[in-house]
Amino acid sequence: MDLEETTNGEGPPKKKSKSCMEKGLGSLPKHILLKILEYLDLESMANCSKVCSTFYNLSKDSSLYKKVVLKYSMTPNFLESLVSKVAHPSEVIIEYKHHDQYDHQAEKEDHCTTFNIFVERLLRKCGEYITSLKIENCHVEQILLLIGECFNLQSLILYRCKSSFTSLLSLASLSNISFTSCHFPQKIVSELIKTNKDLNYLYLSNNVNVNANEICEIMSLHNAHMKEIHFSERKRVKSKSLRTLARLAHLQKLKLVSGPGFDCDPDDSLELLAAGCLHLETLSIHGWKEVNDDNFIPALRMLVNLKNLELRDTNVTIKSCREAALTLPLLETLDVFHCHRIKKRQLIQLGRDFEEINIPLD
Amino acid sequence: MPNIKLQSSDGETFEVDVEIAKCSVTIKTMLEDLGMDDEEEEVVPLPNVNSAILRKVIQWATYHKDDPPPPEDDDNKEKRTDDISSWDADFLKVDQGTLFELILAANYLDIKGLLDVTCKTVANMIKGKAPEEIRKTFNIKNDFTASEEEQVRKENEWCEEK
Repeated sequence: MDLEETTNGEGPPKKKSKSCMEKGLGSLPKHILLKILEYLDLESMANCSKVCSTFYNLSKDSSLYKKVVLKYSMTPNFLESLVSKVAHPSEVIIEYKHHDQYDHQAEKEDHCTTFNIFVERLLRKCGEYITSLKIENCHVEQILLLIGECFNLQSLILYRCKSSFTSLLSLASLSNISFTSCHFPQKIVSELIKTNKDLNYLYLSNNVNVNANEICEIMSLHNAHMKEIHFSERKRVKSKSLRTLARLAHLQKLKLVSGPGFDCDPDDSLELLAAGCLHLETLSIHGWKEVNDDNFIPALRMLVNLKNLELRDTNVTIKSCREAALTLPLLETLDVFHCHRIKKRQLIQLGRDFEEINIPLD
Repeated sequence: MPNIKLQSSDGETFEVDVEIAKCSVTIKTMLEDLGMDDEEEEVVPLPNVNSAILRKVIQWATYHKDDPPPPEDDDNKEKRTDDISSWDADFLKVDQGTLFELILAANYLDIKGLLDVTCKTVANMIKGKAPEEIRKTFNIKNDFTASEEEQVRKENEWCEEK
């Protein structure tokens, strides 16, 4: 059946003689039924389209597929019909299965081939519309090269992917990059960051062949708009690189999980960083043992906008904590887990003295 | 605050604070276009809304009069349905007929907040239900032929394994 569009102000819709739902839900105009369907997840939508021809026809409307998830576990029939309905997606998520989850090698090869066909079809058909792309567990070169077709991408999230990634270098409008446990060739991430000048969010964790120190230097020269940086790479960020980050005047959030090892003295790098990044709201340093009262307290007086401070597993004492509580007017959270020089009773006392600050104990 | 009069399709007149009435973009535009915002005793006819529904709409608008304007729709934003306030949830504990009439009224009067929350409520009535349950809930007839049904079932088989 055809759904007649009833426009604003024209009274109740005309009765349809052969409708599967003449009254009730069926009295709503098409654009409203679509608006309702927009709130459904893909699974509810699939159930809904099995209800009657009206819903079935509505469920084909491409406006409902702005956000698309392709999962390895979906049946080929479902993938086929889903990909055919998508026209202008803005957000696409592609989930391959983790390698340990395959029962047999044969199953992996078999299904991968079918799944690849639909992923490839989707990216070739509408890559240019996608602004946000997330890919998980993909090692298929031919698929990952298609990221280059999505040349309007603003946000790219890769999780456990491995490829030559040569096509990444055709992207130039990225503002968000998040790479976790991926295997990159030497230099490619550095080049990518250099090309995407509007980058403001960077999350790098546990990747192979990513040089965080080099990236700090590149960002300080090319990415003046950086707002948020998170590093938890194997190659740790050194104090020298931290100094270069002081050029990023808009930085609001900096998280360094595992700073350098024992022989790396932060020296004046924290102080310089604080002086350069006046908008810093969150500073997290985890596991940098050489951070202590002597090199941290001088940085404090310039961190005037700081709301969240985490100094986990560092060598600071309660002196730094008290100083932070006293100096930072906006401080909301002070987290000093695993700092062996700080006693629990000292923190409890500090918490009593500064009730407005959240000081977690363990 | 000056009041205006709204007249429902069945002839009942409601006196409402202008600022509250203006949460309806339709009424707001009407007042601006017609220059009816002065002290004249004008009655705004609303031929598409009956008095029972108009009373509900005014009740909703009065409760929400100090809300910030609803954000524009953003394609990239997650469409949530679990963020209905408890007042709204209570307000919308009505029979389906009333709910659908409220949707039509919110659409006609162009009140985005009310349209959003009523559509979400219907979406919640669909979510997580099997096709047969959805038919039952909304009294919908299955109008597929056997072969159509098989085709639709195939296309929408969600997952091979869970």
